Amino acid sequence: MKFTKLITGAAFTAVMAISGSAIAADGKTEAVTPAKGSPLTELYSGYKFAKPGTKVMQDDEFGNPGMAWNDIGADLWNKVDGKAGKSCATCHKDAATSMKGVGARYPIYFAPMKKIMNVEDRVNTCRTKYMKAGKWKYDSNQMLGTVIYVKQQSLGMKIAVKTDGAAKAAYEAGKKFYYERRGQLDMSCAHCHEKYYGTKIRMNTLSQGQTNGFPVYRLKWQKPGSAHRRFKGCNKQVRATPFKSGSDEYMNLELYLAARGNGLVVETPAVRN
Amino acid sequence: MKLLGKTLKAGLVITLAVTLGATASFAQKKKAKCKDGETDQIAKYKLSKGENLDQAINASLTGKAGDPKKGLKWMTHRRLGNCIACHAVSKIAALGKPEDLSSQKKYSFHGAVGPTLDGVADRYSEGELRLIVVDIKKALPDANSIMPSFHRADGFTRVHKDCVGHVVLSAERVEDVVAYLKTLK
Repeated sequence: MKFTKLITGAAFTAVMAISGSAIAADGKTEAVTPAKGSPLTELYSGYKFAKPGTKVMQDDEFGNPGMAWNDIGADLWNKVDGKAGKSCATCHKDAATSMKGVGARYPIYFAPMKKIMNVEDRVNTCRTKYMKAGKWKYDSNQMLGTVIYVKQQSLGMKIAVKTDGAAKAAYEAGKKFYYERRGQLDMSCAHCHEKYYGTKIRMNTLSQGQTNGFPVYRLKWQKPGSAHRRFKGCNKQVRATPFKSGSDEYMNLELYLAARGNGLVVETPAVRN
Repeated sequence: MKLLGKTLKAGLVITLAVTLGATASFAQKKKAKCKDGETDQIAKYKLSKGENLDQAINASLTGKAGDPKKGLKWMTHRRLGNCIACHAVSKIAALGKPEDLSSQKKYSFHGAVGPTLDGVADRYSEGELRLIVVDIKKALPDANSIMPSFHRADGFTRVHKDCVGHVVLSAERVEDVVAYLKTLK
């Protein structure tokens, strides 16, 4: 027992040593100071509140179960689909170059379509408009794979989501949603994730509800899931009727939450309990 | 050909029956989330002046005293009271046996969101405890409390369809919880 702990500890220390400087101030273990006007005095990735074994799993590129979906995404990137005979790579070439930074700045206000878009929505727009292919469902293996692969190209980059200009209205709507009581249990997002983060509720520790690791591989789900899937789960837990994945409500909330975490780094695919 | 038709028909009937059965059990399972066999009659109550708080419900919601043994059950039940999700209670934590993880899961892991309930009966009267459980927003001046209102069914936003018209704790169960809280001196 002690020996196993020692090995796990040693592996963890080794991982820490390798990526040492990157971990120093990315919200994983050390707090990040949020931008002025934030309701939080310190930002923490959900990593901080995860169980020790879960952290080790995330930090090991080969042990992270979410990376299997990254491989799915990498394959799909080059796969021709739809009537236009195109793949992602036809237009975007090498994802390592073209997708770098996407995971850090999305969701964005997308001017040509005059709406807020997350990566899922952007992928489906490309599929229907340019590839002449069908939409993928949220949380289908193809969508999860592609979104994880795209966001992986920004791994370790600081989240910097814009909230001004055309994004302002969505940001404000997301903020309103965040502070609204909802469901039979009459709780807002802020009740758990702003007021009591780091506090235990029975066996679990409440996090700040940061989205920098999404899609996350959740041990409870035994697969990765989108932020919208998590929102649905939260809504159901307070016994409220959830919204649909991709709904305006969740899109606004995703933008607001991402911006609340501006300064944390992209961890996709993070591993969580 | 005729035989094949019959087999197909029988197959279809079986599939249909299985599907219906599955749907029925699924619906039942979902309903249980909020209902748990509750009668869900929402008790009317009168607010009186409290000793330590502004208001209290001095009379039992059912006209009868609750059962503290059942109260303990609701307090640790994940879909019902689940009080220990947020409040630590030393007496309940001590019920978990060190060598038995399932009994520990049931009794020993407590949250720290709310104050400990140790000695809660010294701090509040029975009537105050009753109002705190029934509707915290009427009991405490802190309008921003995270604590759910356990015996209220209106005034909420976007309640899950399975929970519309239901309360978290029935009047009888509120009394059971109050009876248990009264033992925490």
